[in-house]
Amino acid sequence: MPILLALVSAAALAVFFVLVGHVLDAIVFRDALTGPVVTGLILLPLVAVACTLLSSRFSARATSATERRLRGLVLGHVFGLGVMRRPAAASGRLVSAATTDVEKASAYRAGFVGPIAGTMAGPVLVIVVIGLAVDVVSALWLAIAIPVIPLVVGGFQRAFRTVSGSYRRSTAMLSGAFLEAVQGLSTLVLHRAEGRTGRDLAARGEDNRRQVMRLLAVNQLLILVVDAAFSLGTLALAATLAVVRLLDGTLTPGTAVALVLLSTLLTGPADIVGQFFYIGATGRAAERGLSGVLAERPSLPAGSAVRVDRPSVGGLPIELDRVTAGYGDGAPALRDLSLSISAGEHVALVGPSGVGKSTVAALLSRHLLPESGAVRVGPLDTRDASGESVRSLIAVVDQQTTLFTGSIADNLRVAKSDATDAELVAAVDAAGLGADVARMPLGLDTPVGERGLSLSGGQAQRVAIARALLRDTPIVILDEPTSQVDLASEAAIIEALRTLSRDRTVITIAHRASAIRDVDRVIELGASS
Amino acid sequence: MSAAAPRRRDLAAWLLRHTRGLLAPLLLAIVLRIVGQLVGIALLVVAVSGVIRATAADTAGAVGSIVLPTVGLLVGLALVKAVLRYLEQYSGHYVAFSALASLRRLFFDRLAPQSPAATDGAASGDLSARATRDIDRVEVFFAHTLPPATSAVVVPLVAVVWTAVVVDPVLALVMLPVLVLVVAVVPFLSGRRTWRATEERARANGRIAQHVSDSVAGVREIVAFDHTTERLAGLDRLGREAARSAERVGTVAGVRAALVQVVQFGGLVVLLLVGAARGAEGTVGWPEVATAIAVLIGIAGPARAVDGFVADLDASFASAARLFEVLERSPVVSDPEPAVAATSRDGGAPDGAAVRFTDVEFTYPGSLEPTVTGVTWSVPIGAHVAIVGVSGSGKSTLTSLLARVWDPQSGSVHLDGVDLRDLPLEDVRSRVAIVNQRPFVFGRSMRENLVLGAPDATDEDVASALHVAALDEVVAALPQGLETPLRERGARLSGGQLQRLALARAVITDPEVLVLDESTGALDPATERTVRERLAVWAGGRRTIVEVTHRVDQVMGVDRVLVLDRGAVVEDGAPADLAGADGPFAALLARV
Repeated sequence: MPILLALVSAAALAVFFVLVGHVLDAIVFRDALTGPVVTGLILLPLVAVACTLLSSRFSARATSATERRLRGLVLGHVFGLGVMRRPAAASGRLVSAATTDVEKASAYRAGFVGPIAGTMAGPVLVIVVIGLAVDVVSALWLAIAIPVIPLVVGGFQRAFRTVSGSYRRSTAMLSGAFLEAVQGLSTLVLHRAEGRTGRDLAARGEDNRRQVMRLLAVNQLLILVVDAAFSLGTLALAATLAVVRLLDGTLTPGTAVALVLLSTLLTGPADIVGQFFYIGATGRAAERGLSGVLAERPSLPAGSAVRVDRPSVGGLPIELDRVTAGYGDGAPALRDLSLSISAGEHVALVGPSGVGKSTVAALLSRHLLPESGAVRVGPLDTRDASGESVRSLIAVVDQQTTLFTGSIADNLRVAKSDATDAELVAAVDAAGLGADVARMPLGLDTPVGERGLSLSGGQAQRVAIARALLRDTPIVILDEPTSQVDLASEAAIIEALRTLSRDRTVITIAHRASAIRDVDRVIELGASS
Repeated sequence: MSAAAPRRRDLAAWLLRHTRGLLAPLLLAIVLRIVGQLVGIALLVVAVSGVIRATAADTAGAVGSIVLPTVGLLVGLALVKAVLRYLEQYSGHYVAFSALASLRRLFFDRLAPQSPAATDGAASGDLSARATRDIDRVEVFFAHTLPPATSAVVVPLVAVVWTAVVVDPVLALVMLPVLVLVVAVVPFLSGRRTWRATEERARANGRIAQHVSDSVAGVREIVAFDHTTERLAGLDRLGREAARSAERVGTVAGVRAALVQVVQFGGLVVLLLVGAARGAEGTVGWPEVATAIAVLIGIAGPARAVDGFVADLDASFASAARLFEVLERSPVVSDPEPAVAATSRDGGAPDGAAVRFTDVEFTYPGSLEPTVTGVTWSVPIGAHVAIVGVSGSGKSTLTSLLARVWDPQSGSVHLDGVDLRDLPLEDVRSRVAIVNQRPFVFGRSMRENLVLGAPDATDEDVASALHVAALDEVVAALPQGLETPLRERGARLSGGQLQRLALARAVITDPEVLVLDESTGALDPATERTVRERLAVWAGGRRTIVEVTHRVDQVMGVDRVLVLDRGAVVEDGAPADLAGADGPFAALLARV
């Protein structure tokens, strides 16, 4: 479709210029203007303009659609990778891949590469019109010249590639040093190094600028070549042809002028080649960034979806059978561990940090598979069943919970998207958050600020408990759920956890047994392995 | 926040004041562009006049008298135009880099006095965006928007005047409305609607960015609750909203561009029809009409630049306003008046306290509740004390107040008997050193990172600081020792090594008070023991160490413990005594 629009537009403009020639001839030969000529003069530009309007709309739509598709792809990929140990910088890269890189890559793919064919095809049609309506010989000459221009320009670009590469590196280094100074400004100020760094930055910037200007002096010769090649190859050539063929008697004055004017429609390809270099570089860099992110493979096989009917009360049993597991970076975190927890039992898993307590939680949630041995959650073996199936049986309350931008209700519905308002109220009450929510002016619709700022740590933790209640799973894992809660809220949270634990299999993880109350059995992890 | 958004005129004056050196090269770039575009129009006119002269000539001598001169002139003009374009681009880049350099210098110089209060935490991402995107935006305006906008007005004017004088005044008169419409009317149509649509699009993109960063941060919850489908659907919904607003922006811009084209072609048609009518009367010849057509086609390109200019202008002013807002903020702390300023270590505290907090209350700007309240606390010189509490209890805020990153709203903080507000900032920062949990490491050499706060440190100073932080063996094992570059924000060092580097960086400045804010969490137990032993030797009863940690079991060896909960002191005493009492410390201890 975009190609068709570009062709129609090019043809309309070409015919318009041919008609301009006709009018000039009419003045020369004192002929009257005919109706069709005037109609053509008025209608053809409108057709061309309509085509441009439509095609810019097309490319805008295509860009938006590509953006949406790529963004979904990246985020879906992140979800598919699951819970990985990832440094903060890597998270930042994922976010910028899903936003900035996606925007740039889409603009490049849909807004630039997409319309290229049309831009390239337009001049071909213009030459055809010249051949049909003006002069075949001139058309042939121009047909030879037009492909030569991109070749000359392309050759020059190849020759200057190293120059422009080092130019880009220099400017990138300069921006990098500046950004680093801004991001590290707190550190600089606290070490009284900001004045020194500022001066140093300015001096380095000045040096770098001189160097870049020298590089540019060479690099920008490309512009000179493009500009000259394009003026000579189209306008000068067309003018020469027009004059020569006019003297031949082949062309009338009007058609000769038309030939000159038509040559202004042949600029497309040369412009594209020039832009390809500059606009293209950003787009291609963004695409590389995206494929880097998408190349990361999930560390776990998918497994098959299994539906398990939850028991109405009493929970499900758990078993670890001679499990050895780790994160592939050195010694395994767990070695040959066997555990058996019966349905409805409340068990504490204790031991000093580094002994593998959280690894057990990761194994049960199927964020991790055992290297040897088996993990069974209810009737499911985590090696066979999918993560979704296993996690449909388990709710985890961690040390800290992530709240999403949105209302408290939105955050609760993360656990159960079709929960009714009554269910939400019941869960909030059971989690000991009912009185707090009742005090908020908007109740459950109170927005949770950025990073959950409008809720205290203790309130956020009760949201996590309410989520687990809504999830209503037969198994609950409590991974040091009160370790980051202010002392004043502790009692309320312990009470809410007691509600959550009722009629479920519960594993509580802690450093020491003294932190644990209300359990049937304590398993010391350091001792058993 | 700032009282009122600055007016555009003030913003422009503010920008020009800080970019004065730019005017000369900017003017040069504009002149080069104008001349280059005029040469471009001349090319078309020369080509047409070649045709005109060929019509009048006889075939015999025409090659010599018409073809060669015309071709020669065209080639010459084409080369001149290419050279002008080269020079214009070069001076444009010169302007761009100068603008970038001045704006960056301004940004850094104005931000430094506001730091760390304005640069820590949540604000840092936004600041990075302003430092890059907004500065770039303003730079683009200077280098790549202003010259085309100026030439878009000047070039057509010159061309029309030339037509009136040399070709035919009536034909020039026909061209004039085209010019006015394209340059002065159409670009300014529906400006308000474009502005609203642009803002709406920015908001939609902001919501997408928020959704994505929430999603990445909350992968654990999303996966655990099998919420991925809903989350992706939410993203797609936001994507559709953004697409709709982008489409509105595109439609307005597209319609305007189409109008410009319609006006330009309409002008051509009117010119032709008027020419034809006057040609029939014999008042004008076809050569005049052909030349006028060539001029009108020649100015079409340059004149169109105004449309892009209007859209860019809005975005550039928005960026300039965002820069203004940050750079013209006054710092939250500043040096005392010289009359008040106390010199360092004059007299010392009568009670022998290195640090004393007296009824301190502090609320972060924009926050409703105080983060610390009613804190009264003192630390004897040479003591090793700990502040404990859960995250959010106000521990780190106390250390920020101690280093005078902020001033408390009420109460006071004394360093060795002197109110911090009476000490020069330079003095406070040389006497109090903070080591953070996630230290910032610069992409320079190990040595440069180490001597950041002590540029005159001797080799012995360096060696002893490395020894205290147990880094001596690590440095010895590095390929180029101290000169090893720390690439990619120090990615070559492990988390524990980075924390030790930050510790050495603080120790080498020889502070009176060393604050360790969760700064040993990444060390393995054996190394942590070594570092603690060496720190004790280094402190030697003369220097004070304030340690902030949530790991209460790690503080049994310190002299005193301060327990914070919800910003208030709930317990203060020797760790052994507190562990025995059934109070908050014991409750925290029971959790680990």
